[in-house]
Amino acid sequence: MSRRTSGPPALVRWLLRLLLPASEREFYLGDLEESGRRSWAGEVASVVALRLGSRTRLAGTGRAGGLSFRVEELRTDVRLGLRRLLRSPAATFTVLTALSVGIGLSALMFSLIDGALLPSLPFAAGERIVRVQRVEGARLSAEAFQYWMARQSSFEGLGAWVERMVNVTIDGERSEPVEGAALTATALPLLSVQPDLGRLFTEEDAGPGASAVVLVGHEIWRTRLNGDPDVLGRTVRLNGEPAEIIGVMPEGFGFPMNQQLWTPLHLDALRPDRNPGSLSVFGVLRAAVPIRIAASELNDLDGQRPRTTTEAYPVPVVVKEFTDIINPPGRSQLLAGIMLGVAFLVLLVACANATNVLLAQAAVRSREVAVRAALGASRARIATQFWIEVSMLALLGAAGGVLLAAVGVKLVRNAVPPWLAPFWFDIRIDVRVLAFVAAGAVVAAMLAGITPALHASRGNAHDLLKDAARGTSSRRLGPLMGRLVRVEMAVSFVLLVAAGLFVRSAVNVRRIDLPFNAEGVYIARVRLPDAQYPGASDRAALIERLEDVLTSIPAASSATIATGMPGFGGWRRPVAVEGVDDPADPDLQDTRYFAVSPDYFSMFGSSALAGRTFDSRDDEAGLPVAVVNQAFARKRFPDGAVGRRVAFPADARGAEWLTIVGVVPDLLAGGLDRELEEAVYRPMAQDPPASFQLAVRSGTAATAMAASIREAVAGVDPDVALFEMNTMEASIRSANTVYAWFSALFLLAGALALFLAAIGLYGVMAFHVARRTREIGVRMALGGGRGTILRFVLRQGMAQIATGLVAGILLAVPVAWLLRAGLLDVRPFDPLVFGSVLGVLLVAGWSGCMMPALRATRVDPQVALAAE
Amino acid sequence: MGYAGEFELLTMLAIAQLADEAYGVTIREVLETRTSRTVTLGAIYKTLGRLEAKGLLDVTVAPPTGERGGRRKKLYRLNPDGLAAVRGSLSDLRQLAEGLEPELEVQ
Repeated sequence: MSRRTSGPPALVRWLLRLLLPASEREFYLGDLEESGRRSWAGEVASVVALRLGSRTRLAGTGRAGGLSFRVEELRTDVRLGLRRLLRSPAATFTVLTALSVGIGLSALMFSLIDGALLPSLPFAAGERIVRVQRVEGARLSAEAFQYWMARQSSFEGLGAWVERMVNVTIDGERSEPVEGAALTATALPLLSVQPDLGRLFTEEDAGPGASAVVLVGHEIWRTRLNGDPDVLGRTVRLNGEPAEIIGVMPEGFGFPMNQQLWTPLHLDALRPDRNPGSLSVFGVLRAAVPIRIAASELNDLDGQRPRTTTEAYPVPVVVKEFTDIINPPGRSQLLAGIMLGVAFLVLLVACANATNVLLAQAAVRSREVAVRAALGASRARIATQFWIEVSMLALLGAAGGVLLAAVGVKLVRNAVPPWLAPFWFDIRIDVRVLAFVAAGAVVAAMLAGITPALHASRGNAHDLLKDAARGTSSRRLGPLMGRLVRVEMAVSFVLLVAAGLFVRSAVNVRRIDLPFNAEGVYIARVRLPDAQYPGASDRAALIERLEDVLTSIPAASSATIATGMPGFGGWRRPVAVEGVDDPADPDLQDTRYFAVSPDYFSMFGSSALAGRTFDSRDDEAGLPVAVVNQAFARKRFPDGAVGRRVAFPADARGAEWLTIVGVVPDLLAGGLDRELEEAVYRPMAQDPPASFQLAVRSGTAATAMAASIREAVAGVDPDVALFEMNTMEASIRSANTVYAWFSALFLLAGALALFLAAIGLYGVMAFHVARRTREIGVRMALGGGRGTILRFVLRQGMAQIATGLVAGILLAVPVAWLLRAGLLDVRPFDPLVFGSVLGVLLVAGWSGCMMPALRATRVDPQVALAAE
Repeated sequence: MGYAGEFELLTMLAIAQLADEAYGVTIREVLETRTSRTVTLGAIYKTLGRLEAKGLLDVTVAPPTGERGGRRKKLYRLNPDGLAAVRGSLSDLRQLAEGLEPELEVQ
């Protein structure tokens, strides 16, 4: 599972390729690969030396180059620079903080993008592994998959899986639920993954009459099978059915997400009467076949497939990178772009900040520069001195940045719960990130250092000495510093607006008005062991008894059982509408499907909008009935739903027509992200499921209910395992943490930018006031009151802030527009966000000006005039 | 024929030790195991290039192998000129060192 081979890292190889002459490249790289791990830096340095000729010291030859004079100069400059940095600790600290934060955030964002947002799978063909889906998660039938398999030419191969939760019993221990997947025999060979022990599936394993086999994950093998080396051939029970272990997959393998158990997918058995699920499909693109071509081929094949329906099926196919799991396709790239943009902007603010501090320093040092120039130092020599100081700061800043990024990476890794992170997540700082940081440091040094260096070296010694004597150099630097403050303000505005928009999205997730009352509701999931409850009537009987014991819990006011509670999303099932669809069509549209007990609607305060909900009439013997929600009625029955009929061809009872007896309000049937909101409800007694959720409402604290529920369920059947027990609200929210994640990220970036901008503004204003002490002294001596002086200083500062903010608004509008796709229920030009960001920046700016301004009014004219 | 520098001499001796198997990796191995120095491939390549230019080496290209990521390798041999250069340099060294054995602790 190692991502990298033993040869030199990609960066080293790239550098060498760049440096080596074509005639030597192949032989050199071959030697390097063959000689295994080494000090790559040394190798690269020796090649640089090789290319530069013989003047520098060549490792191993013992020859000294002719550069000793320059080296000596450099050493002096470094010593001087260090001394200077230590002499002005406040300035050094500010610049270091700014650069560390800018570089650290960039490195962190880069690590996140590289490890979580746009990684490739850790397999040989990683970058060519793609997902094949229908638009909006519509159903993908086994027929379509097999049709493509036989005819496509864009892929090296296609594989399919169906995810399923499996109750695993090993040696008669208490059974535990495990995330598993049923895979086609083609799937694992396509990934070119080999088991640690045993073998992969063959076509025969999925054939009719094959004995049940299972591949287990490394984690299960280690923890639940005690790392038994003789595990092959052992039998475990999956949902009560025995299966033979034929292999152990390598550590860290969790295809397709973080599954730990794999069984063969019986495609032919995936008949409508067997499996309600839709297939998930992936493929390995042939080299040089673009995603676009592959998608259009599959869509063409879909068009040629014999059809049995009059509607505009099938839904179009999309192909996207396997690790691109955020919907819709392309959203990951968008987010990556946004994150990099944010990092770049913070780096920009950091550099502007550092430049300002350095400029202020340069102004203060103009006398020193003048003296050096007068003593015969060349412009180049003086500029070099500044460059070296700045480069040292940049290097230290980069080191600080890496440290900050490392802390950030650690925090992020701890923040992502393992069950949420797919197996390919690999968030860490690696060589590429370090290279990125190094580049960041160079850019930062260039941006931050170029202006002061130029300024310091410009002009002749005479002018400089004059300036220094009169304190007028600040007048030459002033406009530039002011412009930098404006840039900082503008960029902070943009970042804070972005942060604000995402924070509002995150708040909206938390605030989404649940259209039902989830207060005091405790839920749990149950999976019945198939072997003990094989028939519908067994399950129906158990469910009825469970309902009885749950409602008789003393503290419980109501209880219900259903395949899915509101807000969690129900199963997807293809549905046929009588008179519109052909139930035999393999490409019917999906709806959400719920089997619910009669109390379901009343428990969540919902009642029929038309017709009725379920009652005791709707038992096994009664007329097969269904209730649909408003979304379904609106879409499929614009003229009224009650009395019409629908069928679920994938239902255990085949294409039985169900009469619709009522319409109910939408109860977040599609989950919080509202994907596929149409829903059909069936009475549980007419289709008792093997896996369901139970919910109990209680006036007492919900947590106190856990024990009572366990006790009640154990009283019915101690073998029935309860899992995912939680309060309803907490469960719903935890499924939607993505927005919180991103808002935290942007908020952090925005806060950092604001912090840096405020420091920068304060620094610049303080500098101005200090440099103009003499002018202020004159004004006060001439009778300028404190108020006048205050206004004078403030007016100048606020003018800069105002223009910066106007620029910020102009910039933020297009940025907000670009971000709109990532927002949840927030308009891109949300006046609240724009308004409050404006307010925050005005306050920050005002206080940045105010303190130096107040200090200015305390200037004693006599002291000020004597200041020179 | 010019004079061979110290590292050039060491490299040629290493090539002579390796007979038919002298290329970047093996030359480095011999140099690192038989002398006390750490050597980079860059240094070796630079020296080999110089020796080749002086006409002291014969070069052949061997077919690619898997451990080299499918890349070919350049094999080096001393030609008669190269052998003569080594001989010359070594005898120079010996003559210069003659009589200094006690101080240099050479047996």
